[in-house]
Amino acid sequence: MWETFQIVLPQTVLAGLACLFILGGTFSIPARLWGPLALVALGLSAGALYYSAGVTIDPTEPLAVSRSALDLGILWSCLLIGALFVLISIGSQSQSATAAEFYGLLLLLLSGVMLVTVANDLILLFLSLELISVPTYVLLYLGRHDNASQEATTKYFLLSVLSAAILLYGFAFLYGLTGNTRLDAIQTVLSTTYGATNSDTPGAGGSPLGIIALLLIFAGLGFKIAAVPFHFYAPDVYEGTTAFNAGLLAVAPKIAGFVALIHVASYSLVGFERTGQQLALILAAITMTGGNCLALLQTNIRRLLAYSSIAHAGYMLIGIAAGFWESWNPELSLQGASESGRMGLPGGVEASLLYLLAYSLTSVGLFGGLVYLARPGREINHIDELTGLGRTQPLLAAALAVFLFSLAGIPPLPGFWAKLSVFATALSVRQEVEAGVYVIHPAFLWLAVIGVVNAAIGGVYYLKLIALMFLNDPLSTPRPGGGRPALAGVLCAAALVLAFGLAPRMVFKALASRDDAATSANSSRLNPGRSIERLASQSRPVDRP
Amino acid sequence: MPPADLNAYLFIAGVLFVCGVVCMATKRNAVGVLMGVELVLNGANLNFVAFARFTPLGLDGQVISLFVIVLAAAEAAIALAIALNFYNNHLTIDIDRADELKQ
Amino acid sequence: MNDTALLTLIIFAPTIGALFVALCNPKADGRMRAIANAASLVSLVLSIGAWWYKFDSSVGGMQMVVNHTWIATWNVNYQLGLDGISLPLVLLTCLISYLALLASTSITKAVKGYLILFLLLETGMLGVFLALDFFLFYVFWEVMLLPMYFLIGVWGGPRREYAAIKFFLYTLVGSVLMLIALLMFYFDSGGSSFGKTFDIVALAQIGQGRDASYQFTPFVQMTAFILLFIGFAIKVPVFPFHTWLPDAHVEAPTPISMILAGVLLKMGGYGIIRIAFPICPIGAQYAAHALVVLGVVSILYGAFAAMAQTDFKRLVAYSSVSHMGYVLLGIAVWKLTEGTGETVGRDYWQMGMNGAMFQMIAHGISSPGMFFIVGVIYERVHHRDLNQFGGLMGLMPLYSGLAVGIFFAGLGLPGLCGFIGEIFTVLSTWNYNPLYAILAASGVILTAGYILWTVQRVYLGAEYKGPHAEGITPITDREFGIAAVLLALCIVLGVYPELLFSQMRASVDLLVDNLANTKGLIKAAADVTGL
Repeated sequence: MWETFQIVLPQTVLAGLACLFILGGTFSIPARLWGPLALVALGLSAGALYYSAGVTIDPTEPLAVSRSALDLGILWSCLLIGALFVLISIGSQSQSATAAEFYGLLLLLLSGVMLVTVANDLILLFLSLELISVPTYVLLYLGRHDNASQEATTKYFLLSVLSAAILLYGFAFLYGLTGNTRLDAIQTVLSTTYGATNSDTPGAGGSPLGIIALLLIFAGLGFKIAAVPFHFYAPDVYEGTTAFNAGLLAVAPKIAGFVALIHVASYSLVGFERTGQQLALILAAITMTGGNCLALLQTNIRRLLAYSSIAHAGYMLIGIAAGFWESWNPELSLQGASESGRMGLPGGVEASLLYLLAYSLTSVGLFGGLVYLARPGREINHIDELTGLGRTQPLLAAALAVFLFSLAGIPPLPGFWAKLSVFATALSVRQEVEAGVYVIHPAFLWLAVIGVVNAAIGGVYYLKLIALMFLNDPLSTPRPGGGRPALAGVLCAAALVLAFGLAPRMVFKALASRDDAATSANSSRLNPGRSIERLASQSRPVDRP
Repeated sequence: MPPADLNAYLFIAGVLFVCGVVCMATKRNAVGVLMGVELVLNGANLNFVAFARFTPLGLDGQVISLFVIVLAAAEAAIALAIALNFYNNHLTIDIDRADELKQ
Repeated sequence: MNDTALLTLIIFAPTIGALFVALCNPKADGRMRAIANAASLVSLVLSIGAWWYKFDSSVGGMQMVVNHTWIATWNVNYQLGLDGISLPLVLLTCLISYLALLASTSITKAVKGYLILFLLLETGMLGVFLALDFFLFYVFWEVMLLPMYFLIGVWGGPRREYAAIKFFLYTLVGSVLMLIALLMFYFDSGGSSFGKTFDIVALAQIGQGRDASYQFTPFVQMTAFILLFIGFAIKVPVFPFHTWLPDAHVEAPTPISMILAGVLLKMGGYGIIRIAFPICPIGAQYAAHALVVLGVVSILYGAFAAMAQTDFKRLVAYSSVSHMGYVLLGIAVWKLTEGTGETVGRDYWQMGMNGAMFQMIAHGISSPGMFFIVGVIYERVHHRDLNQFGGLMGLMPLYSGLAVGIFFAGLGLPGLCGFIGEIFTVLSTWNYNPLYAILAASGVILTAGYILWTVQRVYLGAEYKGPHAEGITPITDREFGIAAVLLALCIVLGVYPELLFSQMRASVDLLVDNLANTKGLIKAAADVTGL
């Protein structure tokens, strides 16, 4: 029991301080203090995380939380990205009457994202997803007070609630199928019933309940990650809100959605991998293509970035699809690399997480640049407003160019390593055509081809922005209203992006250590494919009172 | 008449779910849409409770549905606040009037 | 000096120069130019030194191989090396870059940025030609892309933005297709005795069936060949992927046009010879006929299009499409007998391949010369309309003499460098199919047509007809020097082609032998038609 509290300590610290912030908003404390205070709160949470990082969980004990080495990395990344968000907002919130509420909600939202990462129980997972959604509604409303903003808030609220309900409905089926709410128990039950070693048709799924649950979970989380066809709210909402909120929406729900998808669908739903793989494959293809093609037509900068963020969800889904395949073909995914294992290559799920990290860092920076350029009540709307930025704001323009090139996937920036990883996982998928003869899975080959063609299409609109900034003469001199902290935040993000791009080895190593973590006793969350034997040998009874 | 079995509950829950989704898709009134959401959430609740009742699974299902009921109340509060603001700006709660952002 | 230091310095001397330029005061124009020239000269001198003292032309395989681990998790190595195919291209790159840098005095806007980007571009190009690791090759290939985009986009002509974006996107499409092929090779080589690898030499052995435990399947070879070929064909450029070229050439400033025509186009041909053919011989053999047809179409289309131009620079750009068609033709004339899979007339194919390599170098010398000649006159009269020139022979006799010499080299006049490559490829095509040989040869006649017509319109005639007649001044010593070096090389290679052939023959012959001995060629042909 005690470990549970230790593990959720960073989240608890954040949530508790967030409540203090919201209470403190009623006292007359100068608005400019809240931003730095929020940074302090994040620092305290980081201290708590540092303290709890050493806590180990006994995998046999039924707990509502779990945390692998990889999850720990996600938690640190969340805090880092949260700090960048606070930094870019300090300038614009320094005069605001609602600064305390703003930061309180931001911290609450962040603690929600971090709770999703450690949640090992369907209830906790669902509630922490709501802990992200509810502050988002209010933040959207606090951002702007015009009709467009109202419309954006209403749209986001209704669709978000619907997606939560669909997700819950899926969870209900998952509960009915397995009789458990804990993810690790669900995994155990499913792998003893439908797992690769116990099934004639591995991965095909033996129960319609599981397939319904998988479909509903994909649909519910599809809203969060803005995958086509669940994407349609994103462009409207991004356009109707501030650059800061748009950035938050582009990053926070996406992290939470993907982490939840990985923990529930990729790791726990053993036995339904084939369905999951087909779903993820189709979603990936249409999401990339739809997002990129529609982004070509946009002239509003936030709308353009909304479609771009949709497209990036598609690339991440490639890794998810390959991850499903690895789960039901554990021996095949190692084919041809026997002497040195996977040689430290990230698997599909890890490639997606790598992509998520690269995408999140660049997105924070990119939207941060827009926050810096905006003046109170006057956002950067049309892409033409960036014209000639290379002349008038050379430093900011250079940072934005780094982000855009990274999103376009130009080496040696993180976007390139991320794209390389997901395409690599897709192309490592083999198919056995006759006994002992393996060829590249044609569906995944096509997916990779669609992916790279999309990378080129994406290049068009990113390059259009870069051309506007550097190849054209400025139309007017911008008067940035975001303040120095915002610029500092953007430059920090640029420095991080460059460091990640030039020394990717560290990140790859962190991801590759997942294999070690999975085999050590510290982790209770396992990648099913690699650990079937271990689970079977444990054959832990379903713990019921 | 034989006692209702699990499938009957699941069927009812499915009907509630579909009704809720259809309601959200077709209603023009913000409060109507909110009612659709409640239907969907309660469909899921019914599922949870039915699974807990008809299988030897203990009380988990009932506990989840309690959580969800509280959550639905919290969301209704925010929804009403949003609807009120919407009314202040648009003098209606017909959400089809919100069409400033291009589709 | 050991090989690692030598090859690394050849590649990165320009980068070091770029760092020094970056530290300079932006106003110290002269000093920055001097640093840039020196850095580029270091690469040139070192590459000549490597050729003179270290390179053994009798060895066909890789020499001066350097191999250090770069990214261990992916088995990516910092692997460099030279052979008879890459050495001439490295020398060409260093020479053309140095000359283009000398020709950059006309650039006066944001000199600092220009020089930095130029030097980075040189690093990228040299890296592509020296890399023996496919991943490293890919990274250098992309590294070269960004400076080029900005060099065209910032310092180019009126439609520079359009041209720069078009160039970037075409190349990006090509390189992402290459990325898939690269990953396919990587994962498929897992079954070989090398393990998963990006090593181009090892991959070639796997593709040709010289590895004991594994050969790439015909499916992989064909898919990868198509992906790779599209990627490289965009760069060559081969009809129908050529449409970026006229725009990029016309809008780019003169030195960048020289680099584009002299070096960048060669990277496409080099990629086909170094990567697409050796790693995917079965795919290459299957596609050979289509490649020959594309080569012939490029030759004829480029020539006809050049004939129709009124813009001087556009004409030269289309002439590049036509001339690079010979390169593809020479590479692709690989004929198998039905049934046994024996290569028919291996000597002819060797001749074609040698001719293609020679044509790349020859075009790499003559076409920068042509662009430079156009640039010289453009700087003086600020237009390029072919119908508004005339009589320059009288006004600028020295310039006109050099110009006519370089244009005749492009035309393929015997005794100048253009002739050798064209005659070799056309002769080897005769073995493949006489009809294509006749069509390709007629390209020579068309070329003669448009070049002579151009010479007549620009340099001959009674008097100059266009605007800015007062701007016409004799060429400066610097301009004379650049053009004279290029013309001299045209003459030397035309009179004594053995100078170049002797360096690359061993490598080209080895490549052709290896390809012709590829395991399973005929089986593949049967499998493929059965699909």
